[in-house]
Amino acid sequence: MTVTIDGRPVSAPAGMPVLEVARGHGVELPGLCHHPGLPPAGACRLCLVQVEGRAGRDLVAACQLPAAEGLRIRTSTPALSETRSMMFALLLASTGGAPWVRAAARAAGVDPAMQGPWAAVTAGVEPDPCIQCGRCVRACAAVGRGLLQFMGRGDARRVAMAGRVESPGGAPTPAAGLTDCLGCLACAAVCPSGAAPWSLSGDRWHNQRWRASVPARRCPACDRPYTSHSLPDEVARRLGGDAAGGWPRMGGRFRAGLCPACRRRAAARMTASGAGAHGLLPST
Amino acid sequence: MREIFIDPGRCLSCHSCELACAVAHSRSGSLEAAIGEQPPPRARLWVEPLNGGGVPIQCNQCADAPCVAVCVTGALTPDERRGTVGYQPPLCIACTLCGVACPFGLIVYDAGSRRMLKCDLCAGRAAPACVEACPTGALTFGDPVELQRGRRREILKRLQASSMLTGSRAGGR
Repeated sequence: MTVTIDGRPVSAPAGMPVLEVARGHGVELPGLCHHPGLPPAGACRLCLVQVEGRAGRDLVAACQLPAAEGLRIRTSTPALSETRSMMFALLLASTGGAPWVRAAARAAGVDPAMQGPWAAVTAGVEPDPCIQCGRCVRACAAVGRGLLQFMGRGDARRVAMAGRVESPGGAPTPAAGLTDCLGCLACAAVCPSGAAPWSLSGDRWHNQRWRASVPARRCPACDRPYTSHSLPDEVARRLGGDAAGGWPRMGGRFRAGLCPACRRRAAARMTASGAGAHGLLPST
Repeated sequence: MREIFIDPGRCLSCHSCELACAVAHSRSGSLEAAIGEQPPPRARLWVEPLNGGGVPIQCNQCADAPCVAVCVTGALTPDERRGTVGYQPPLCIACTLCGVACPFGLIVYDAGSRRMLKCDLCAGRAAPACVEACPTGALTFGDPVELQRGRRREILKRLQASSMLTGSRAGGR
């Protein structure tokens, strides 16, 4: 299937977001909310492209535009520049000019000092580096928890961890009957703003923004904390096994719950003894 | 279908394979430029110390791989053509399930790229960079049947050299 980008025909798999098609062919498009591993959301509106031959409403977010035969788009037109500048102005205003948004604006050729009339509109809003792109929300859903959600409306709209109740003198805990955060920390890994970092302190991972903390798991061999407490159990469950009874699919050859570094040590011993997966003959 | 074979007896723990791996997966692809790159390029294999020597280990490209079974984005999928566990880093959201699922601890989180790292057998190269860099032949790349045949011949030669088979007609070609 062929899509024409700025007059250049390129081949693309049907249905692939045009944003990914363009970037795959070296066409730079701004965009802060898209992640190729997550469903498109069209939240930041920065990857706008102009669809040729479409009267009115021809500015479309490329992340939500599936590649289709004969599709012709422009990535740089006066209308696009104007609209993109406005989108950046809005993001700059709502984040109080967060450095990472300023950098993104500069990279897209937009003057980050320009905040236009929007600066006044959002004057009372507390600055927050989060642009509500929803990558964390989508990542949490992809992992199968779906605890991170948009909450509130208008100025009060925020991403928050759902289902938590205040507990006296400590971090909020999950409400009765709800599964807790898995502690996979993907929300922080996919976040473009760095607004929701996790940190390990004592025996728990903490996230201030989500007002959450999850217990860490220590390796039974080296005693180092290496993941959250519940993640290995969840992985074992998904693999149809039981972490306590040895690692599923490996005939119980591995001690359950070892950290990756200690598993590598065990794998090296296996390889050297000729029992590794590589079917070694004795060393020559 | 070709695989990496490990001969721990030949490993000198020189870590050339790790260096070559990091350079091969750097943006620039050259050692001089890779040293200064941010985020720093990282290796996808490890020389594990063992009994005073070393054992280079990397992704086993498992059939029915646990990492593939738990991947939630499709970043890890079986590559039927190459017979490997295919990995598309752009799709990775670093939920780390694969890293915990890997029985050998060979998929790790990279804070620089905020994605998981896994050996891709250097797709696009004739042989993996680690194999090309290994000065002693501790790492070799080839068809498993051919490699095993080579090993058998080598053992046979050693047996002949130690005169255990002198006079017999059991020589190979």
